[in-house]
Amino acid sequence: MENLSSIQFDKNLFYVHNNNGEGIIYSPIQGKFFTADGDAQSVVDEYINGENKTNQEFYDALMQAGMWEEKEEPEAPEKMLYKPTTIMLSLSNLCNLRCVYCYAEAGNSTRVLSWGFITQAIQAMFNNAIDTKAQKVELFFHGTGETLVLWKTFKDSVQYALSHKPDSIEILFSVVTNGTLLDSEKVEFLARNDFAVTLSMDGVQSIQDKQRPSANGKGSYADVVKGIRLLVDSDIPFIVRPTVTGESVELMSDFVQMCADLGCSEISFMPFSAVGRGAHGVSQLSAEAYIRNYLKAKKLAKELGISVEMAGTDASEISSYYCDAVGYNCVVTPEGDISNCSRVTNINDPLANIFFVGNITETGFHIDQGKVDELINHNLYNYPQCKDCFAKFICSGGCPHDRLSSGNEMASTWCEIIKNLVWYEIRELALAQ
Amino acid sequence: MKTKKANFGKVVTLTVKKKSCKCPGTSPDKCSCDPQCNHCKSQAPKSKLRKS
Repeated sequence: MENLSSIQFDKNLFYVHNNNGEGIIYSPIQGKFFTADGDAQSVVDEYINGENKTNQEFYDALMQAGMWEEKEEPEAPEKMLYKPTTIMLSLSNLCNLRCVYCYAEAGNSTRVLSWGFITQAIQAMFNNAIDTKAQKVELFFHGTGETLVLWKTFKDSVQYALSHKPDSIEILFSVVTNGTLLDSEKVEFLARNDFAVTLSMDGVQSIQDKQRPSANGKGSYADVVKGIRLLVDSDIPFIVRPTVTGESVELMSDFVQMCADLGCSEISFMPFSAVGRGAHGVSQLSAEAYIRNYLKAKKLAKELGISVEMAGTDASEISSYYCDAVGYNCVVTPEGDISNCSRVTNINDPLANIFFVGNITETGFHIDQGKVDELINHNLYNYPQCKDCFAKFICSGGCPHDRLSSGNEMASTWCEIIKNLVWYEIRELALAQ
Repeated sequence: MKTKKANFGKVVTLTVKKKSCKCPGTSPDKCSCDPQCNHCKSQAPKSKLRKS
């Protein structure tokens, strides 16, 4: 891990450097950068502190590099009438696993979304598409519990959506699953309906069994591997989404090798968040260990011909907000409430008063538009912590749920990880020139 | 480029995609897939994975 410092010497133009005289001149909005080593810091200092920015030679170098070209910052989210055409159904809090860090504390209750609310939500999705002239809608199954525990409800929901879909509208399906309940019938159904699948799995057997045990205490590794093999055999594209803790961090490369051996082609690592069941007792993650092992895992993945990524670290994608929990999401909770955050699906959650924007009634969605409008404020232009950060448009301020859960600031571990991974990405590209 | 004792390298330019789209209820990632979208003209996403 590098001990990085940065100097913002013009709007959205940074000099980022480590303690070894290695640096980068970086414009994140333009996506332009070049190495600035040796005495670059003194040149930058002289340029900034000189009268009327006197270092003409440096100014000319920046001019020649096109660093002064005007580019607009990413737009902040804007208020809009709430007409979601992507609906995320949280079918229940039921789960066959008891993951040690589960944000939803799945399995702790038997909350189940009623069939009446499911059909109301799907119908609202189509009505919104007609109202807004959208040609595509998405039905997404995610969160609060393991979707496939309620296999019949899941299947019936898909079939209801297909049978009630207006001819002019295309429907996309997505599901997040722990993979342990997949069998031939389920995989065939997912393939037939062209599902996008995200599969949560944490690691090699020792880690998977410890961090994601079954409700009866047994390990879940064998079951999830069986599920992965079925997905691979059926050519269903899927992304493996491991949560990295202090316990699993040194085994990230082993995990990549294991995934490659199983035939997985995409892995998206994410550091664990100390929320829900993970607020206590989970081995803490150090930024240094995560960065070191992530880079090693990414290098191995490249050699193996598969993809390793982490959301919020791609320097070619910029945004002022991290996810759609800015008034654009529609998560239907097991009680029929409507939340903007897939992590907040319980009325007793301390953040429910922020993310809950309405509920489903017999007549359809009942939405508090004022609450929807307030959510646009969860963007990085409102985060003083991010103001001077060179990686702010790439990280986009981080997960609002994590931020709000830790006093409206992202944890320093997160920031160090993001800044270092962006640094390593652009530094490597710059050195390759 | 050379200025004083500093060593400046060649410029790299990435194709930057802005992920801000006003389509109601539609993720910026997916919106960019839709050629009919009037708000977002950027490139299609690499995957369907959500950040959340």
